Amino acid sequence: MADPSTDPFDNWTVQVRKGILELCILNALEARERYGYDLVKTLAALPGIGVTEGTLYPLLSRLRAQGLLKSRLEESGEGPARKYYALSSSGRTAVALMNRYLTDLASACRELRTK
Amino acid sequence: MITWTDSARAALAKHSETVRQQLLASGADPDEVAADLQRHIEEEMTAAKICVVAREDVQRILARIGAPVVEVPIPAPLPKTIRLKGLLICIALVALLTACLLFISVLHNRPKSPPIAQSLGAEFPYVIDFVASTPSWSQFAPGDAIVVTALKGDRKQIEPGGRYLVDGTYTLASMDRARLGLSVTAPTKDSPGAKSPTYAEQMTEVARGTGHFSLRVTMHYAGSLHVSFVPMDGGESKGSVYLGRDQTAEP
Repeated sequence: MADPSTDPFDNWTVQVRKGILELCILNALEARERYGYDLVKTLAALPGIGVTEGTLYPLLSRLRAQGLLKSRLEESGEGPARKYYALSSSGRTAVALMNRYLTDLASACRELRTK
Repeated sequence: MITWTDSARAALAKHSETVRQQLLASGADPDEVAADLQRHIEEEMTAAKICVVAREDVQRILARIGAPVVEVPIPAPLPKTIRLKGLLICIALVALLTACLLFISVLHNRPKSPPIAQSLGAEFPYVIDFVASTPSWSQFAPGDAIVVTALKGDRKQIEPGGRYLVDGTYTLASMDRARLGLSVTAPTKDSPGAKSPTYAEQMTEVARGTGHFSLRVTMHYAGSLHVSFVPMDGGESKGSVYLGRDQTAEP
């Protein structure tokens, strides 16, 4: 059995996850707006993404500061006011570019195996 | 309607202050993240049908969901010449170490048996990424510290039924001697876990100063893993580090 702490696959997946997390957030908001608690629960439960809920709030804040997300507060009858996140127009452009880039990259990577 | 006790508000504020500079450096708004965490805690309390947020609730939830983590920049690779020198030095050290071990083995004519590290590796094959609680709410006495350096388990993640090995270092300054214990928080003082016995593998005695520890525990019920200083005569713990869930590593 390989030593997990030195397994190159594990090291690689950690780096991939870091890069893909922002895209996951943007993709999760592409179809509809979602409130923060629901969004982080959904993302934290995503198979293979390996993040905790607390890690996502700073990312959401940064993406909002970068203008890719917009947010609004709405009172909730079930608990605290909910903060809804949605893609801004810049965010929609960015997520389209990012998905296209990832698709092309994955495709090019696969093609290398057959050349 | 959720009500916060003063100590709960203070715990969240103290935590937010601790990570403020890191969040600023990452491009996040610390005040916004603090408000998000507050809402998150209130959502969890609402789901649990609890109306009052206490300090312990803040600590427990933050430990479980993982405090905001700011990515550490990946260090630039060393120049090739330095890497080559480092590699040669490593090879030389490994060869020297192997020769020493061989010599000792021959000298004592011991029958071959698996080393302790190897047997522990078989029992705890998974390295589990974790998020440790920040010092601000670990409630250590001045000068005391516990740093967890590795968490391994027989499962890929922290979950009931799993066995876990926690390695780390401690610094004890506030007492001459103390017990250092690895345990799992019980949801309430009346829950089954609150009355679980403590096994020898979970506890070690430490003296004033700095040292290493390696403790094991079986997670019989859901809760948060934590390492604590406990006075020799018992009583409440004097500072704890909680381990939250994060990404897991497979063998």
